Amino acid sequence: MWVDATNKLLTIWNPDANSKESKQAAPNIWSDWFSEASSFFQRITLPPFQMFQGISGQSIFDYKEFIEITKLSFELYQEWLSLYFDFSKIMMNSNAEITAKFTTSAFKDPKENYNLWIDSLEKGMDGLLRDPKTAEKFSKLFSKSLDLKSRSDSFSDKYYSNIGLPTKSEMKRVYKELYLMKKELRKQNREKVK
Amino acid sequence: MLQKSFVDSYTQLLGQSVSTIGSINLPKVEVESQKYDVVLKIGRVRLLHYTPLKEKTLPIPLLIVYAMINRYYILDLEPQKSVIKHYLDEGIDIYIIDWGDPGPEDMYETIEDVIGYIEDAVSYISKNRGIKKLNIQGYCMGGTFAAIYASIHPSLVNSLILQAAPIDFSTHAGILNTWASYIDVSKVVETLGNVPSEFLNFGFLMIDPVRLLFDKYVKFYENLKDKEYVQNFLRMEKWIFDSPDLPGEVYCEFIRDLFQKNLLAKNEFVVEGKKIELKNIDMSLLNIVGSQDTLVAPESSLPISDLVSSKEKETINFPSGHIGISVSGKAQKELWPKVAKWIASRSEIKKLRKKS
Repeated sequence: MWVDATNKLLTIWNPDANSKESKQAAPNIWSDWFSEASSFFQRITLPPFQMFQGISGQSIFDYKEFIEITKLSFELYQEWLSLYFDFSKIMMNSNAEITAKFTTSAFKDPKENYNLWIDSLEKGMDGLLRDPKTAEKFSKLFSKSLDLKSRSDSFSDKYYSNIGLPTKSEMKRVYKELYLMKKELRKQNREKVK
Repeated sequence: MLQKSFVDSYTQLLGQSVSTIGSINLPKVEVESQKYDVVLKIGRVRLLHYTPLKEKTLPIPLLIVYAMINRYYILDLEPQKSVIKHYLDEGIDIYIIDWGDPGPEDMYETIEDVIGYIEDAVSYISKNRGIKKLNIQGYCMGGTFAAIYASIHPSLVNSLILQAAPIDFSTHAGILNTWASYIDVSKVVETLGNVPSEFLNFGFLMIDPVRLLFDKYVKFYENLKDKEYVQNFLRMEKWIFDSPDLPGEVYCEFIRDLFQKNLLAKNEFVVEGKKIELKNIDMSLLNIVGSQDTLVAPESSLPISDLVSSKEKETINFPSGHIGISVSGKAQKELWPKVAKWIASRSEIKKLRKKS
């Protein structure tokens, strides 16, 4: 039990903790605690998985899919970092430009300096944002985030179908029917008005 | 609904922080100064009719087709910044289409459906007012729709007013034009359904991130003691973030067929099984363009004059941006009184009979 394992763990900090026996027992106590704690947290954080496992007879927690989602998250993060560095570079260039102006000319009114900095930053950003390479990077970032969303959706769909809830693709079919019905209704109303 | 409450809470919170920091008392952020009635409802789409300010209105009404991005009330943000009020003061009878909030089933709605809504609105107004033609004004994306509608039904349109309307998408003068060429639209719609307003807003803010995400708020805190400035700021913030999602298929067609393939300017865009021929537009045309517009580049709006067959056409190249063209003090003082007079002079039945 996790509570017992925790109690045992606390004995490491008891007054006799520095005794030879206690030091020898410590690694085992830690390992027991980790094992108990992880199974305890698995029970409290993943009850649906356990429940569905019972219903469907097999685990629906698809690790392969989960790894794929994690991989996509990293790729998305990489794309984001690439853009972030581009923006940071513009920011640093503007800062450097204004700092150089400070050192070569007399210190102006702070507001005037701020305006100079904003103008310089805006000019740099405009150049960056108009660059087709940036558009391509934004497009990649967006595309990756859509891939991730799509994967997560299919992951949730498996989850929903196991408990008898409609999946996203099933809901889409319902929405399409609803749209066609509304369209037909509008058409009939129009003919009635005529 | 959730988004509306978010926008309300956001502006309220901003207002409260202003009250605390700036030691001023602010009332709730109110937008829309003119009264209207909802005269037609087709699903989520509403047709609004503004209450006239004059006892007698001009006989030919004006239908405003607003964009499906953000809300129509930018044209009536407050009494001092109201295009609608300028029109009402001239005795123009105004209807406006409010596109509402699309539900998940609306992700399949196409531009053809959008034109269908305009047809329903025109049909309702014509029947109720006993008229055969009306004036149509389209703003931004709504301008593109209004031009498409006028090309299909030129006999039902008395005059066409386009405001910052993208027509020729071949230009790369605007950042959005460059970005649009890299978007895989089918993937967007397949994955997201309707295109979230947050995504659209992010795109618009990234056109000028330094001003719109940073400098704007610095200026705001500099003017905390100025009650009028703060109120205007909060009204604009409310409008900017009060944005509905865009039906997926409309987004897909708009980006793929118009932005990427430029089918409208090439007269190859198909609606209701027919190619849209812009030269069918033969009514009076007023093209209002913001010369500093970074969202819809003037290069995208100006070519309409060469693509239509209207004998009477006028272009106003006003020194303003995409939103400033509606709400800036200069536009309110110099542009809209002039436009209101232009429309009013084309709202008399006598002229219509003479023409026909």
